[in-house]
Amino acid sequence: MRVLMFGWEFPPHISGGLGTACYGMCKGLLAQGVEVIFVAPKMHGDEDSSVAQLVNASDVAINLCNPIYRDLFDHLTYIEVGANLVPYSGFGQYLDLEKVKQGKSVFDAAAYAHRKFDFSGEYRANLMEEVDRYAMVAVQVAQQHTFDVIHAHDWLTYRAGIAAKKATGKPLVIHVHATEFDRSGKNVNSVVFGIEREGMLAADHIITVSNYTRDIVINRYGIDPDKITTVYNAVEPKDSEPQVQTGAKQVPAKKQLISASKRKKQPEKEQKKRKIVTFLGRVTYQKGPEYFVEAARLVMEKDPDVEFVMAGSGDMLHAIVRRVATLGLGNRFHFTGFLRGADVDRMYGMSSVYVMPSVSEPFGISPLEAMRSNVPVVISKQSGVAEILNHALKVDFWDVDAMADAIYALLHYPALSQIFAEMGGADAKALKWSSAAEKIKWVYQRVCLF
Amino acid sequence: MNNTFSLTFKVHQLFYLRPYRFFDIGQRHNYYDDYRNKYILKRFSERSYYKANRLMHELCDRFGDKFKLSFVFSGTAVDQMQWYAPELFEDFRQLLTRPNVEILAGDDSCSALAVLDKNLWKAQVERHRSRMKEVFGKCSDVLAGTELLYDDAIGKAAAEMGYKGILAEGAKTVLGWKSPHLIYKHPACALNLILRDGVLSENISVRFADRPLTAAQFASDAANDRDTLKDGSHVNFYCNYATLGEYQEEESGIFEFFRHLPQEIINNGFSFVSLSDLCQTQAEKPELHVPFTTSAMDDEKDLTALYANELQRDVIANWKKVCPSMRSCPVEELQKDFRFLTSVEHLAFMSTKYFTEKPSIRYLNPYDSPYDAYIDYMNIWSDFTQRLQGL
Repeated sequence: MRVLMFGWEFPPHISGGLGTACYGMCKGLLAQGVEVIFVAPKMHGDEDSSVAQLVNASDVAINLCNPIYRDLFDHLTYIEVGANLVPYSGFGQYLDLEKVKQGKSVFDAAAYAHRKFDFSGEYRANLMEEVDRYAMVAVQVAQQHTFDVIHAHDWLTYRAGIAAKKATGKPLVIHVHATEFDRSGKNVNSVVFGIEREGMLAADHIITVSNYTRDIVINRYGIDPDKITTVYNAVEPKDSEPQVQTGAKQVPAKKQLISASKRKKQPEKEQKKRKIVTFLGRVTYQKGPEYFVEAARLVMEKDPDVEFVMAGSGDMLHAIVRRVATLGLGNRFHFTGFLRGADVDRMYGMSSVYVMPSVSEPFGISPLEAMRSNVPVVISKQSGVAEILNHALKVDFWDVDAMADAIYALLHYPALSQIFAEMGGADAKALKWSSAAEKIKWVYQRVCLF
Repeated sequence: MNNTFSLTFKVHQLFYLRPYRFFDIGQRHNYYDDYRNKYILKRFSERSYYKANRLMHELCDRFGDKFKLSFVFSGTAVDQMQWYAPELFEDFRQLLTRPNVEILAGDDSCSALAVLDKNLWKAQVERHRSRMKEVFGKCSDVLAGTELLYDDAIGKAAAEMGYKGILAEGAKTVLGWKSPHLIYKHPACALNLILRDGVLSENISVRFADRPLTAAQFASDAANDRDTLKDGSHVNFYCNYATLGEYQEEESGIFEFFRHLPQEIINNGFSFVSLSDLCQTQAEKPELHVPFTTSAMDDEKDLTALYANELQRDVIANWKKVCPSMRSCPVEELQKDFRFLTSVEHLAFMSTKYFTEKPSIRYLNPYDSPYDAYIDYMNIWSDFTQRLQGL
């Protein structure tokens, strides 16, 4: 069985958990005998290509004069180029728009029609434009490859999935890692919501990462429960992870070994004398960083020796820094900025407690990574991962007293933290991508039958 | 009628901090960006200090004892010169041996200790004064503190240390209708208050490139209330020495301005004085009450560049917390780091005010945002306090 999979990022160049999940999934599927053709807007060349056939959308040349596009454009009227304001319905109009955009009177249509799109693969102002161009490239990719099922991850790739489905008639599975309601609370972006619902309606089957997300898809998007299946994410065993340090290429192997062994020693030493409570994730509304700060204040009132670390960046970072300064916690509350690769493991290695206070978390892979490093975790009840973890303290995200209580307990009662570290580690290790992949394969087989 | 003019230059270099990560806390104690510090000192000396020193020698030769000027050095500037550019240090020393040149007492690291902890401040000022005597062979009884921070309490502390006079900002908020061109005295102590003319000084130090002035125009501006003050007018010009050539580039004509300034000042009926000469005069002086702290910073001439937002308040609260233990801390290394880390520029980098006029903050700021400055600083500060507690 072959799957055409549309993703947005792939390790080591990641900005969140989606890329890591895709990597684990590909690996698990390969073990199940499912071959994956993985498409991402931008590949850097240092990705691990042993788990999937990687396709870089920036390298795909498309020919807009190809009749298939004309046929498809009649159907794919939703494709918009040049931000999300100007809809168009045909190739001619498309050229007109580009002419206006470039401000040139002479326009070489032939050169324009044969082209590649240069994707940034990042979350920028022209995101909507990239989403739509990705869909155009998807048609070309779908025609060049043979496969049985199309699998699209998150709203950024839904349109690519739909386009590929319309071009080839193959069944479409969409994977909901997050919904707009998780990211923005009640202030949803209606364009994103529209794309998400479009994808859900067009899909032959929907995979959600937790029952928490499944409920959102059913209740908020009005989707038939029969075509939604929950498949929990998993974590890769630590040693089998790809080398994700970006600058790794330049470092000679010997040096790397030395620095790695040095690092291993350091955290153990530090862990004993420092009590570090860690938040690791994007500093955005969804992740609930402000509740972490309030809990930190309460804990520090009782024990001024505890250190708090917020690792990550995001649109709320400045507001959080201000809040920390206002409360006068700056001396014991640190910001590391966005961490990647070895620094993430180092951070877990130094931590005494890991906290995930998310306001709405479809799954939440980071507590599993912490537990894998034998760090006890406090997680919010508003997360998918809370459904499957037994050895984690669960609190409501808004209940900062309970959160502070849990943090304090894990720091000061060694019996508790020891049990959570050991049993939690076992909990996390039990979640394997191979079993998740088995379930995903079942979904593929089901959609191929109908 | 005795109209006088005094020229005061500040020489200060900050120890810039390196990007200090959370992972470094407890592991590494080198906080400073050595490369940047060296580079900036080199840049300043090539563009400004050497040329300005040559000009001052020339003016001293030409006018003899009719020309006077005062310098105030920060301890960090002296440290950097001694470590990174001994030849520059020697160049300054040559200039300072001239009788025309006076050295004022000041704060060691341009810290805000004057408003935080008077005992520590006194100790630092005294230490700096004896160091000035040691390395340059002289230091006068007049004080020019960090950014001319001044209020009644600071004045009292300065008088207790035996200073005869202090240079302060002639801030409109304090003076009201009164003229900055008079020597005032502290309401309770025997201390002369010499006031800087902020407008005239900033016409050159901040606005010279945008609105060029000739030395003649400047001198006639300085003389505008010369005839209305019956005891004569005194005008103080105070700016950073790096204004010559660095903050105002050579191409703006700044060196030519200063080359012609003494003659024009003398032509307008002024004579050059040193600040310690001013404190010798016996004439009765009006009292000036300064209930809140004034400074030479920005348009507001107050503490808002340093003490306005939450970030800065948190840093200051942290400084206050360690002040008591620093009084008795015997470890020289920690005392040194405390001095370097409490320079007010570290606070100024966290400022969220829109129009900050200090060129050192405007274009020499290494941080992308005030928040980055705060995060970096607090990481270093945690390591510092851990070392302090570990004693």
